[in-house]
Amino acid sequence: MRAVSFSPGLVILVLGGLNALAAETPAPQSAHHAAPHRAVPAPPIAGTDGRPLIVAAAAASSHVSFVGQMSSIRSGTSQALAVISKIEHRAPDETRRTYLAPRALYGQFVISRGAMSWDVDSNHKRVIVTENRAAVDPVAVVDDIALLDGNYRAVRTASDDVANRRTDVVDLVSRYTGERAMRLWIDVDTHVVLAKEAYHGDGSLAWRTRFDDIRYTDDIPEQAFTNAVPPGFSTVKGRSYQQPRALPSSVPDAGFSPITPKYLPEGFSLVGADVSAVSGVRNLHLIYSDGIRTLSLFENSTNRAIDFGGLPSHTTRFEGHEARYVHDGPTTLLAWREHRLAFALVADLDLNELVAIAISVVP
Amino acid sequence: MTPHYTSETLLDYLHGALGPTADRAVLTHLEGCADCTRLFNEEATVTEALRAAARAEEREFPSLVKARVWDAVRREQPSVWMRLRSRWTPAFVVPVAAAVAVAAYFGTPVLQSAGPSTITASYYLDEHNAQTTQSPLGPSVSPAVYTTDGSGAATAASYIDTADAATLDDAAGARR
Repeated sequence: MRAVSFSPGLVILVLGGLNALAAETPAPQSAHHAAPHRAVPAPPIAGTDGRPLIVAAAAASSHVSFVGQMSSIRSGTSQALAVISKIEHRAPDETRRTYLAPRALYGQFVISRGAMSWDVDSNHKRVIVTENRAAVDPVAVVDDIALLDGNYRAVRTASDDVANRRTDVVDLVSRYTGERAMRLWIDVDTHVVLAKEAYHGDGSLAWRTRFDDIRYTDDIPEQAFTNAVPPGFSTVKGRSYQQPRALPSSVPDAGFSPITPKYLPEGFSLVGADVSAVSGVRNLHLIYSDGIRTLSLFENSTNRAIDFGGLPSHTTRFEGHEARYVHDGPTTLLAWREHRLAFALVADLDLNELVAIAISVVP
Repeated sequence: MTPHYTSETLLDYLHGALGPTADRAVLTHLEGCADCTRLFNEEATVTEALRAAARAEEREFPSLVKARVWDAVRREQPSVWMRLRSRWTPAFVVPVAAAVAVAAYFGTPVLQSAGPSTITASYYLDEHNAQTTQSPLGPSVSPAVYTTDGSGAATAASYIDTADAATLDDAAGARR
């Protein structure tokens, strides 16, 4: 059964923007998402236009409610991490994720409502309250789709069954290299994405998510989404992630002149910036995206090295600089210092690619 | 009202190191004191995490387990006395004494290397992941982030692959 409920405001804004992108003519790029000028024709791939399906999928969770079990795998350089969780989602924006595996997370659950989330950690008898305004920015979603449209072709290549549901299989193919960057399995009836796979440049799997089962229903108990703190639990204020400032309006003042990379992988462009204070240090966060992947460049004007703690960091050198890097599943963090600034690059990119970007930061 | 117990006493109680009278007194106090019970639970969580990891005897136990252990270890603030007492072993004292002697001989550059407080790698990873969640095509798995404040200190991102470094020995070393 399909459970559908429409709400005004945010949904209308998102759908309005997305529908514009679903038109037959190529979607216009926003000012700060300039169309890539180095695009070369990618080899043709058999299939039909999958863009309308992508647009529908991006908005599906805002009007479809469901309960299901999801498996997620993040692949690292030498091992992978699997997480199994129960998902209860009530449109437009309430979700409860209860972890079933690994055992260390069993029983822990996270309730999110809009920008707020309550992470109930039963092992430590505490509730961590986090705010992430970036996660609910409808303009950002529209911009992401626009950027995606400029860099990737959506091609419906097949039909398949996932969680006993009929799906359309849509590949996102780079307009530059012709390589498949992502594959989605989209429910034919509801357009909910039932499975996703993202791939590295060499074709290896970066991460995947997949519903093992799913049931569409509005009949989800209210208490599933209550954020009441359980008796005996403490409330801990977690991190507050701000909505990045859209560019090119202005880069927020970090107290120093920001330096941007001269080289970026094909399709990436600057989409936002933010300044936050941590340990008394003003940190500039520049955010780049190609519609699928996100690249973060952090800068601050202190002489402080990054504390890797117990993480297995490694050393690399480029242009006379010693840099440290660490892998976090498919994500790599590269940190170095030069010109009296401390830099950190974070992205789902190969180390060589990150080093190339780092070299171009202060050429 | 019995005064609150210290974490040292509660640890001794947890490990069965108290005499019968003291053991009974602590138990009675815990039944009626929420503050001490909370502190005891925190100590028990760390201990249990370490024990569980040791019991598992896995060559590479899951990153999440190690991340949780590290998270607990870093949040724990052992007393000065606990640190001194736990370090006072020949295996620690001998190499430390040697290092002090070498440092005294060659000067003080080692002591000068202690810099200001640093920003943790998990802070950057958390900030990056927070941005990726806005994408409808992102991994859509909100990692169980253990960053509890904006200070950047005492954090451990759940998905960090700590297989090479965060062994049980390392965790125990961090506690000392």
